[in-house]
Amino acid sequence: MDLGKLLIEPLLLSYVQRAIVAALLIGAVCGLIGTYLVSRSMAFLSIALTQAIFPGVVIALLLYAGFLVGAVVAGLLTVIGVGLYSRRTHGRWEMAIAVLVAGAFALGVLLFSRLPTYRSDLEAVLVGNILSISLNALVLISILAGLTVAVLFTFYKELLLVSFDRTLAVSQGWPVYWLDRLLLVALAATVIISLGALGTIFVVPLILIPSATARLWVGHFWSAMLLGCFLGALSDLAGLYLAYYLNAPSGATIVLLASAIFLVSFVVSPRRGLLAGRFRS
Amino acid sequence: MSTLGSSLAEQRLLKGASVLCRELMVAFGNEIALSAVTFGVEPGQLVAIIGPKGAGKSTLLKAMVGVVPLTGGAIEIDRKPASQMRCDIAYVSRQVRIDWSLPISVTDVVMMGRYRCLGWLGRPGVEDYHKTDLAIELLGLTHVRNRWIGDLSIGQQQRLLLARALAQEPRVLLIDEPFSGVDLASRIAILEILSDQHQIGRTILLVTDDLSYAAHCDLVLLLDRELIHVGIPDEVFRPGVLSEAYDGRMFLLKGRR
Repeated sequence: MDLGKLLIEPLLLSYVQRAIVAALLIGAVCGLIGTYLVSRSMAFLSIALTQAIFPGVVIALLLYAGFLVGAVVAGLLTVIGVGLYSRRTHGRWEMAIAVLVAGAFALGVLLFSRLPTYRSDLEAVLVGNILSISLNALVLISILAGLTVAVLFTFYKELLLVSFDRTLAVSQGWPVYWLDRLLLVALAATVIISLGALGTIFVVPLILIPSATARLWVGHFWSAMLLGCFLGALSDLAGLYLAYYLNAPSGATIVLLASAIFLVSFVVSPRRGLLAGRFRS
Repeated sequence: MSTLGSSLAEQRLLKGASVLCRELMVAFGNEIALSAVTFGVEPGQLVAIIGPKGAGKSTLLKAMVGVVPLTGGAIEIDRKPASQMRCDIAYVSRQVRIDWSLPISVTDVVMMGRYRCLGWLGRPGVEDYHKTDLAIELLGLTHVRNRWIGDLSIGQQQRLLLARALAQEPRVLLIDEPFSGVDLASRIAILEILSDQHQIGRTILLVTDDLSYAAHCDLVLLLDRELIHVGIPDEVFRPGVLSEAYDGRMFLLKGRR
């Protein structure tokens, strides 16, 4: 089997070319933002976002509008909703989110059952189909990804501070409330751009897994961020090829590969791996 | 003098800042944690804040840096409002209050101390890495600088928080119980650092249960939700004064000096 041929052949197809660009962007952004999602509440929040965006996407499909339009609208509403609600309840995010998510997802499921059965569309919503990303979608993804990356790099130390040591952030006088919102918006943007490739079910795993893998290899935050970014893009790219050749949902193949890389790292890593522990003792 | 101290002294006249608190009041809903607390600290003084449990000692420090909102009163650092002087105050919280399971390295944490002074778009430069390394060295943490904070012992954790505060090069240092739960080696290291910093001229306010340490400070603040007494140790360590705060919860053993 000629590996070169296997790699090059699909590249001749325009939809694969689009998929590759999308894969690199989405993987990179997911890997990047994953490094900030260290607290339990942030991990919960990312799951909640995907579930709250779900009805938006379904509504968009019902109205024959773009998949992404629904995602963006629902994403915005969720971010604003969480923001407004948590102000009144003195920052008790978890409660706000649990309420929103339960209702929104239920609505989504209800509407879902009303959708005429366009099989590939339905599947894509849940498990992703990176090979069906249109040019318009790609443009939107590129813009959002670019903005998100710009924000994460510009404010990396402020967001780092707010994620890892809120008390210090407050004592240093940073506008913690707005930084939280900023991270939330970046997270929402990440979920939105990743939906097409990964589907509702697999967005959060791809956000969390590459950065978790990165932390098995490096200790410093900056290095973990870059490595997470790289691993995310790698998983996406490899997953794309796998989806192409197996004719399988891309969300599944991507996350499968990301998990595999994690597992290998978990065992092998000189820093934190299982084997390393054995050698040390 | 320590390496960090001498390099800092070279750069600018490191003078501790004065601290003035006027009629401070902190209330959580109906509960009043602190009321009518008024005192002044001269630049370079080492101040011990003592008092029984629940006296509001930690709350006082937190209010000074804005972690806890002030219900009333004002705080001035060098005669300017504390909110404008964030870069010059460093706060070291009790190590039990931090989430140590986070995947972040010792160097990362110490560098965070310098963030405020870097400003919004500032990036850590060579100078910042140098100062961070110095602070880490000063607290004896160089051998663990690349480890995750979760791998540290309690003593190392407390030293880490102190290193972070020192990396900020503050003119006022606020420390909440630097000695609680730390092993002997760390305690000695911390005592040495505090003494160094005092010599350099930093203003230090620390909350402590250790009355024998408080007896060696320049000023003692005796707190029990309100200011019972503030003065030199000799003034405060008198049975009449102490019992007002500790209220029969202590025994005074008179020894000879």
